[in-house]
Amino acid sequence: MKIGVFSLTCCEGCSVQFLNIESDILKLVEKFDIKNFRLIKERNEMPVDIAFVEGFPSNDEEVEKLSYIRENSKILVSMGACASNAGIPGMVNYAGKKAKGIKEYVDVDYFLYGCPFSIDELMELISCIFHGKEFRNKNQNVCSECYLRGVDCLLDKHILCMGGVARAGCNAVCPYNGHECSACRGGYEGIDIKSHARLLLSKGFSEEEIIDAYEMYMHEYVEELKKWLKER
Amino acid sequence: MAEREINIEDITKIEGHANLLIKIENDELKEVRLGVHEGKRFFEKFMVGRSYKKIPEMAGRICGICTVAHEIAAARAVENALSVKVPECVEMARNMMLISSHIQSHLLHLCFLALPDYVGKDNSLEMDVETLKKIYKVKEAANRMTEIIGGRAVHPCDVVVGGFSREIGREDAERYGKLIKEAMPILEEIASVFLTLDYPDIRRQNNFASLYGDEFSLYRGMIKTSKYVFEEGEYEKYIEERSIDYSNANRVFVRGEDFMVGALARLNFNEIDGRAKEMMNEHGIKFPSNNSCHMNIAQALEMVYFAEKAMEIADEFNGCSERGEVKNENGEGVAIIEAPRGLLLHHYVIEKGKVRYANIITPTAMNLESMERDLRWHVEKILNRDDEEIKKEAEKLIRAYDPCISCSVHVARVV
Ligand code: SF4
Ligand code: SF4
Ligand code: SF4
Repeated sequence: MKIGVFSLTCCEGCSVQFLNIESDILKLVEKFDIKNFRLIKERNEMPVDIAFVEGFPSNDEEVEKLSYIRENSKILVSMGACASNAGIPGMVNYAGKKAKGIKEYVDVDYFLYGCPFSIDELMELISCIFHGKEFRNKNQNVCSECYLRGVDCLLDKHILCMGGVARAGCNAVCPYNGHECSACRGGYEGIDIKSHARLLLSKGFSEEEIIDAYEMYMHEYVEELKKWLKER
Repeated sequence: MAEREINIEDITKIEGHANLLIKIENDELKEVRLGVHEGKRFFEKFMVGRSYKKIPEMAGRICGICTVAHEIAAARAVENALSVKVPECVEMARNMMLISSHIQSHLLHLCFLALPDYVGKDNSLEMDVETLKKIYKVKEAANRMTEIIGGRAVHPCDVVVGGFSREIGREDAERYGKLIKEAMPILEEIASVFLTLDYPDIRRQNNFASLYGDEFSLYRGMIKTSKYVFEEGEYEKYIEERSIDYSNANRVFVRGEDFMVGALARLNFNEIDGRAKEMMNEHGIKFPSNNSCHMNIAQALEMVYFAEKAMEIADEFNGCSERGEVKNENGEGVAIIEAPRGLLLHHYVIEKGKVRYANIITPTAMNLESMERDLRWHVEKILNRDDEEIKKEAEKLIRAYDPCISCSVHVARVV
C-alpha cells in the first residue's frame, strides 16, 4: 500500500509524531511504501492509497493542494487538531480571519484527533485499514479515562478542565500529568455543553473563563455557549 | 543571451515550506530569493487577550520540533514579567527537557534531513536496516526522556508558569539518566559520522549570536554577538525585524547586520569538554569556524556534549514538587533561550493577568537573511555548473542551516 504524509499550515508536530512511531515505523516501511513525505523525502510521488494530512489550508494554493491530494488518494485521513478544525490557529476565527478544518473543503474518510494525534490510535487505524476492519473514534469523554487511571479531578482544585466535553482516546494524558485538559481532541458526539457550562459555573468559574477555555480548541461551540450563557 | 532560472518550488527535507529562485543572466548572478510561502499563523495576535497561564501551552504549538523550547521560553518570559521566583529544581528539570529535545531535533535534522545529501540517497528510510535501527534507538530514547519529564514528547503537557503541573520524582530522573547512558555509545557513533563528511566550503558569515556565560547554557545567559554582549531584556536596542515583500517571514538584523544562530554559533562562543571535546580533537576539528555547513558538525558534537551534561543533572536531581508562585499579575518580561536552531525570543506584556502584547522572534527568522546571502555568495562561485548541481549545492547549504519554516511564519503583527 502506498502512503503519503502531507502538510498544510501548522506546526508539523503531527508529522514529527508520525516519525515518532519509532520502531514501529520500520515494520510499517516493510508493509507500506511511503511514497510522499516532503519532510524527509526529496522525490515525492502521487497517487497514494492513504493520504495523511496535517494542518489547515491558509491560502488558495493550499486549498488547491488539498483538492489535489484528495483526487489522488483513495483514503484521506485528517491528522491532528489543525486538520480537524484548525486547532489553536483556528482561534483567529474570532478576529475576523477564517481558518477552517479540511473537512470544510474535501471529503475526509477518517479522523485522528488531538494535538498531536495519539500514536496508538494511528496504529489502530492503519491496522484496521490493512485488515479491512472498521475503525471507530472513541465516543466518551476524557473524564472516563481519568476515572480508569484514578486521576483526582482537577475541577476540585479549582483548575478549569475541559475533559467533560473532550473526546477520549489520549488516555487523559494532561489531567494525568496534573494539567487541565484543553479539549485538543474536540468534542465527542454526546457532548452537552450546557450541563458542562453549568457544572463549571457551579465550581466557581466565571463566564469569561469558560468562554476562553472553549475558544482554544472548541471554536465550533463558542457561539452556542455564548448564547446559552446570555439567555440562561 | 543565455538566461537561466533555477526554481525550487517546495524545498524538501526541511521543516516547513520554502522556495528558492535563482536567476542567472549572461553568466552573471542576477537574483537569489529565498521565499517563505507557508501561510502566516498569527500566534502573537491570538495570544493577546489570553490568560498568561495558557501561554506556554499555546506557544508550544508554534512548532512541533522545537515545542519544548517554545514552551520553556514562553514560561520564562512570563515568569520574568510577573517576577516569579522559580525553584532551582524546576530549572534542572527544564534543562533536562531542553537537552533531550535538542538531541531529538539534531538527530532528526542530521539523520533524516541532512544525511541523504551526503550519502546519495533520496531519504533515510532507504538506508540499511541496521543503521536505521540504531538511529531509531537513540531517537526513541531522546523522545522517552522528554516524555518522562514533560508527559509527552511532542507538545509536553506539564510545563506551566512557575514550574511543572505535577511532581517530577527522583525516579523520573533515574529513568531519564538510564536512557541517556544506554544511548550514549550509539550517539557517539552517529555523531562521529558527521565529523568526517565532506562539506561545501561556505565561509562568508562572520557574525554569530548565541547565549554566553560562565557555563555553556541553553536555558539562560547573556547574548553574545560577534560585536556586542547584552542582556535579554535589552534586545530591542540591538535586534530589529524587517518585513520583505517576497516572504511571509520577517528578516532579522543585529544593528543592521545579518547574523547566524544555532549550534555553530554556540560552539563558536562556548567551550565544550568531556567526550565531545575528545572527539573534536581526535578528528582535528576546531572552533570557531565560519563555514556555515559546519552546523552539522556542531550539532553532532553538541549531542554528545549535552548528553553527558544531562547525565550529570539527572544524577544530582532529587525530585521537584515546588513551583514558583505568581503574586502579581502585571508586568513586562523577555526571555531568550537556545532552541535547537538557535536563539529564541519571547516577550510579553501582561496586564491584570492577560497578555496585552506578545512578540516572538525565532531562530529561523534570524537565520533567513544570512542563509540567502550565503546562497548568493556560494552560487556566484559555481555558476559554470549545470542547474541540477547548483540546485544540489543550494539545498545542501539550506539544509545545513536546519531551517524551521513553521516557526518563522508564526508572525503576527497584522496591520
Ligand atoms: S494538531 Fe497540534 S501537533 Fe498537529 S500540526 Fe496542529 S498544532 Fe501541530
Ligand atoms: S480532571 Fe478533567 S478530565 Fe479528569 S475527571 Fe476532572 S474534569 Fe474530567
Ligand atoms: S487530555 Fe485533553 S488536551 Fe490533553 S490530549 Fe487529551 S483531549 Fe487533548
